[in-house]
Amino acid sequence: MKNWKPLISFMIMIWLGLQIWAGSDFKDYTWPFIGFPMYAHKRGVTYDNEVQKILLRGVTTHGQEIEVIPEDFGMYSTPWNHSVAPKLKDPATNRTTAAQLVNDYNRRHPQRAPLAGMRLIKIHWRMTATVPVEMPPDTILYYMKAPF
Amino acid sequence: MSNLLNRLVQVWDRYWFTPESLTRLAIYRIWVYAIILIDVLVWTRGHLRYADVDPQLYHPIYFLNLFNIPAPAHPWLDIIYGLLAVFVFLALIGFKTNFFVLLASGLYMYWVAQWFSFGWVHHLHPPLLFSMIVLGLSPSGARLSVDHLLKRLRENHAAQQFIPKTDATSPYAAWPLRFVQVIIILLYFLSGYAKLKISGWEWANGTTLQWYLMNDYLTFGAPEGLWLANHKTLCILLSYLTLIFETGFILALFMPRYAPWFLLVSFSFHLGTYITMRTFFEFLWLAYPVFFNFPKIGAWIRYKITAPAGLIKFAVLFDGQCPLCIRSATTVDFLDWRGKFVFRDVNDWEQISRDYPGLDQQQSLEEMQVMIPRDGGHEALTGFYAFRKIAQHLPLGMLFWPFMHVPGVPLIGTRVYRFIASRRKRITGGARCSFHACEIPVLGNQLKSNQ
Repeated sequence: MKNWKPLISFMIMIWLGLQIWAGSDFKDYTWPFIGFPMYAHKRGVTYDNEVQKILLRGVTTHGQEIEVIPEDFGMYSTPWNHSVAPKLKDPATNRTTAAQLVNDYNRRHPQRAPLAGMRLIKIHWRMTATVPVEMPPDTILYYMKAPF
Repeated sequence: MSNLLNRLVQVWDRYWFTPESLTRLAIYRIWVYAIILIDVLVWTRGHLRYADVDPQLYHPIYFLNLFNIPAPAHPWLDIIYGLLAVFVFLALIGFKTNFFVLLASGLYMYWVAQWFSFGWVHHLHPPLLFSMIVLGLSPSGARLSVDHLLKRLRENHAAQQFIPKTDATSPYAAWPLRFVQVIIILLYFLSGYAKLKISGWEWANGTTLQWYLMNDYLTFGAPEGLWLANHKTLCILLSYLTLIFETGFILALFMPRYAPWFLLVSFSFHLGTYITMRTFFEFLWLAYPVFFNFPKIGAWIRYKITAPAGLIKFAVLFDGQCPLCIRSATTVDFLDWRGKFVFRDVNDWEQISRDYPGLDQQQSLEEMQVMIPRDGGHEALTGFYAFRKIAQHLPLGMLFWPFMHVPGVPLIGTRVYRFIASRRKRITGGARCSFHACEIPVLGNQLKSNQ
């Protein structure tokens, strides 16, 4: 039988080395060698103390508001939360993103009532010294397509 | 210096290359690929929809960027999906094991990576993904595989006799298991390390856990999470316990005996996160079986719990001079994972007639028989009924056993069995069997005169 031990040992060392390197520096672009910083960032009463969720309401051409979910754009909630939701939360990008979503929705669902716009509602809770407190929801954007 | 180096090499060699049961490795292969098959066919089947997502959202991770792999599109993603499902199945049953295991690993890596290229990298795939790869670089198909069955059929055919299976060990069976164990231990440790390095002990201020509970509550809506977030003292306590548990997991590396206890604590932890955050980390704990020696556990359960007085074994009497019978016995022996059968060659008639008085030698040669211990003696089942009894006691045979009771099936089964059995060849001198008798050297003349 051939002695594969040196080759396997070398491979194990390289493999574990890569994993420890990526893991101790919290890398994820090096997947499948990655770090594990999920849930690792601290939050406090005086900093990063707000939990937010952006709700999407599609506004049809008849003015009716309907619920819109990530699956309407072919996405699941978690990747949605990481790739689209941050753009919707950011005032600098939310208008363009909402416009893209309206177009994407109409392209994907020609059989449904077309959307003319979108309302973004922020649901948020604030951390206090004792318990989280629910804040009133805010409309952070009411986007309507130009009528031409 | 060289002494120290020698000692290190010895320790390294003992850790990674101590001979390990090939059956244990094969069981882990079956477990991993069964999970991946379910993942591909059920859990992530919907990811085919990523071919419809706006390509502007596609930001390929490094691994895909390296090979300039574009955003997924129809029909390529559908073709890859189909091939992936087939390769994973072939890896599961162990057909051309190493080849298909490596192919399946490569395609699965792509399958997961294209999904991660839409803005989010899941952190818990390494244990199962790395398991898939290392199983392809080790003798994971040497037992419990189609490869092993075919090899045994070839060997027994060449030897012209039935040689029962044995478990064997290999110095290359341990390292894949140890490797995945180390990856799991590292994963927990590095999670704790990340919390301490990024946030320090302030991570355990209670507010942090409250925040994450609320964040997941807004996403998944677990009322238990809302309840826990409203109990700050409990949140502080659980935060400290989490840090101690995660960083302390590294001790499992030095205390492998206690690994099951570490796993019990971590499974409870995941159960807790599921209840309060609806996050189950299933891809992590589904790799836990790598810590368990299932052949040993199975033997312990068998001899201590299900059959403390010894396992009742059925004897399968077969014609050891007939290649077809050798093949049948080899196949049944391969499928007999519970060790319920012993195999006896009826050509050793002197011993057989002593152990099972009253048996007819000619009938024993014509049809396979299963001897069932009953009231101090034995009841003999022959032909189709023997096979039905065998099916009842084989884990895979149980799937077919109920159908063998459907009215009409025993009648047809008996005829088919007799038809095949009567036309089989025997090794000795090209002799054959007929519907009425088998030619055997000892009884040959007498039989011919009877006819």
